[in-house]
Amino acid sequence: MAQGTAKWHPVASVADLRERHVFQTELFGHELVVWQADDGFVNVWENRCLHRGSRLSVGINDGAELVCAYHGWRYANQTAGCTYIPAHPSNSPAQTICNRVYPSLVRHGFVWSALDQPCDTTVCDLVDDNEPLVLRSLPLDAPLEEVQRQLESYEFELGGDGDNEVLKFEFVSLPSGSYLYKSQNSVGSFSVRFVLQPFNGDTTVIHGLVSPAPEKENQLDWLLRINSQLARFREQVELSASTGMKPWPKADDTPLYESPQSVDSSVGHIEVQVSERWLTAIDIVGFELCPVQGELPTFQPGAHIDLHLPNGLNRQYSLINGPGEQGRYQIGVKLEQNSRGGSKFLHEELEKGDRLFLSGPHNNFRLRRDAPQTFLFAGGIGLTPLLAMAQALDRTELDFALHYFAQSKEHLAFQDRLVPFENRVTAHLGLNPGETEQRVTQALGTYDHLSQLYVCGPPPMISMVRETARGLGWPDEVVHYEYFKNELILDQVSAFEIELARSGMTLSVGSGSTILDVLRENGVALTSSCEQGACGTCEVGLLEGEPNHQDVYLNETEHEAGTRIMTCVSRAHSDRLVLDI
Amino acid sequence: MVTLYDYELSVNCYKVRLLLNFLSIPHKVHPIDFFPGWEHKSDWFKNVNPLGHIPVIDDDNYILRDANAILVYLATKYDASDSWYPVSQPPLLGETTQWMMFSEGTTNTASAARLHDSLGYEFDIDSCRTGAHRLFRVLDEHLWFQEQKNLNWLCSSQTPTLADLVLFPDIILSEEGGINRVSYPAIRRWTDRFRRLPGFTLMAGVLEAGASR
Repeated sequence: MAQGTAKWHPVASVADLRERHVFQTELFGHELVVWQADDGFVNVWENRCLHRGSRLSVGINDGAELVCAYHGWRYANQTAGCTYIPAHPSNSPAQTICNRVYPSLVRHGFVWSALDQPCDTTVCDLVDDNEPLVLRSLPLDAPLEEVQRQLESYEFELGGDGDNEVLKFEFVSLPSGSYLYKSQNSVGSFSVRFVLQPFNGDTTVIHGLVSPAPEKENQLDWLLRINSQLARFREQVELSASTGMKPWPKADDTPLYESPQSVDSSVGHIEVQVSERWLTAIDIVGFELCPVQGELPTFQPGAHIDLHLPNGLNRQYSLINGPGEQGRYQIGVKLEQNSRGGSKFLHEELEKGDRLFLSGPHNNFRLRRDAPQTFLFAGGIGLTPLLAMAQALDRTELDFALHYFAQSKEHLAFQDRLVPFENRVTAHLGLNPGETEQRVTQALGTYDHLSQLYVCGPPPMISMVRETARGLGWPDEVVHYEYFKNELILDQVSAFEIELARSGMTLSVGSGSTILDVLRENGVALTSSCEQGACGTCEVGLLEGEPNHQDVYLNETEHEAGTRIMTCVSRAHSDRLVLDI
Repeated sequence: MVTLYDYELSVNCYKVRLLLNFLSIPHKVHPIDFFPGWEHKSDWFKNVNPLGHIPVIDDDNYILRDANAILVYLATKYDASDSWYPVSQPPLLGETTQWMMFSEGTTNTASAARLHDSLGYEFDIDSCRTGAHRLFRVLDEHLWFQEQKNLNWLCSSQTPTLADLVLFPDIILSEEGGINRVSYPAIRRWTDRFRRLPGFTLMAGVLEAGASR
């Protein structure tokens, strides 16, 4: 491999990325796709969808995610993690589906990248001037060494017609990889710098800038003149390059895609720091969490994280981030009247600057992004996952309505995030359970075969919405819900056996332990989160036996089918269960 | 009523379909089995167009052949805004016609390479591709400087003209002829803008562009 793969090279000018353009280029023969999200972040990725290998540069930049043109796989801003696979609308893509990300820096009007992470963030010291004039980048069909050789003896002239004095530019030096040319006249001294992008073995791109930037009204003239000089230089270089220069071989020997290290979110605790904390409504505090090092994993709308509190408690909180808002997680925490130390700790003790650990995110409350109409019902703090969903839907053409039930206007959280789609939000304030049910019935109407329904809030409200929907003919599979807690009275004492179909092991579950406990004691790694049968993370397939479902995650149809079981709470009516693990 | 003698995979027919849709002109499509049936060379079709080429339109028994002629006719007759073929603005009309002529070059190189690769036409493929790259360099430079002047289209107008329309199909399908557009970022951004126009229609091989913001 050629040298310089751990050095910064310009790969695009920032202006190339305007209007959500999906820019395509190469570095040392590796195909790159470069795109800027609406938050300003510039992504440099391998130009290849992990699904069928299509180029992502023909895809769509929706401002927060890059969507493959072929089968609609979506990849998140910053992390390049896959967030949605349209052919599997109710599954969450595995965290291992993550495109290859190259380092990216924006400096001096250019996007810089490298195949391997450079040791520092210094690109060439181009100029002190913050706003130089960025020239039109020019690709040359010539190998890097040939362009380098000819640039060192290159000189060019600008002006010379009418009242303009001739500006003669001569090569001065090569400070940290940039070709510096200087000229002086009565108006002042100008320098022109060129930096080279090793595109592939046959092509090199010249990027350049002028500093200080000429007067605004003269800039177009400068751009035109230098461009025509460079076009002539290109002819000269290409002519000599075609006489037997040997391009370096294309990077065929290196794999197009190297598998990322797998992310096991059950083990990988991520240290974060509280970067913001604010009161967003009565009894609800918002927290913003930034990674202490590295980056946060990709999330999907509806996902939650597990916070590991310094007092030993683990608590689940839904992310309220909109799509593409990578780099920090935001959550909302309501102070519970009967707090056992989770929300009380967060409200009273966790301050800006404090550090703690989290794991996840897990997503078992998955948003389909293909229903013509989506109903979101939020009760109080149950808004949080639905807020993430609403922001995702707001980026599509799909219709949705968010019904937000709360005690009063002062209890409505994260109102600033609701503003962009406020015409789709209905606040229902200060209602009793009877009135709430009436509003839900009115909003839902008879099932129309087009809609999906999502509900989150206090357990009685979720149950009411589910029953109301059922009464109006809504089938279970379109009614999605997420309980924050399981309020059922659980059997924790019955004894039974579990057989693991894939390993042939038979284990006993006795009083006081759960299937999950027994599995873990015997070395079976299984991811879990809430451990009270509400979140769905510890689900396994059930092949035989009669389960005693004690979770609030699966719906009635799923309970009756008896093919899945939540290992953290559910037990057996029969003597034995055969699990698909 | 306009009837278009059409073949889905023909770039020249696509040009006419684009304008019919941009201008919302009511029309019927008469599909011609161009490949592999060679229906455009059949006896009955030679009565419509003795050259045996498509597209041809029939506008209430007024028969016209050749994409450029058809576009000029349709725009002049049906475009009330006088923007696609601006006959009332001579300098702009001149520019429009100049770039429409430029498309003769891209059709004979980029689109010829596509016919070679996909339908087995016997052309000198290397000279087609080299010729296309030469023209694309000129086009990319022009469009980059148009962007510096805050102009989105080929000509000095705020709205697209027939110049953009006739060039678009040759450009957007160039990769089907083995002509990569990676070195022409200004051309690529222009194709984004063209695909975002209201009334834009796709053809096989042309993908949608997302909204700009």
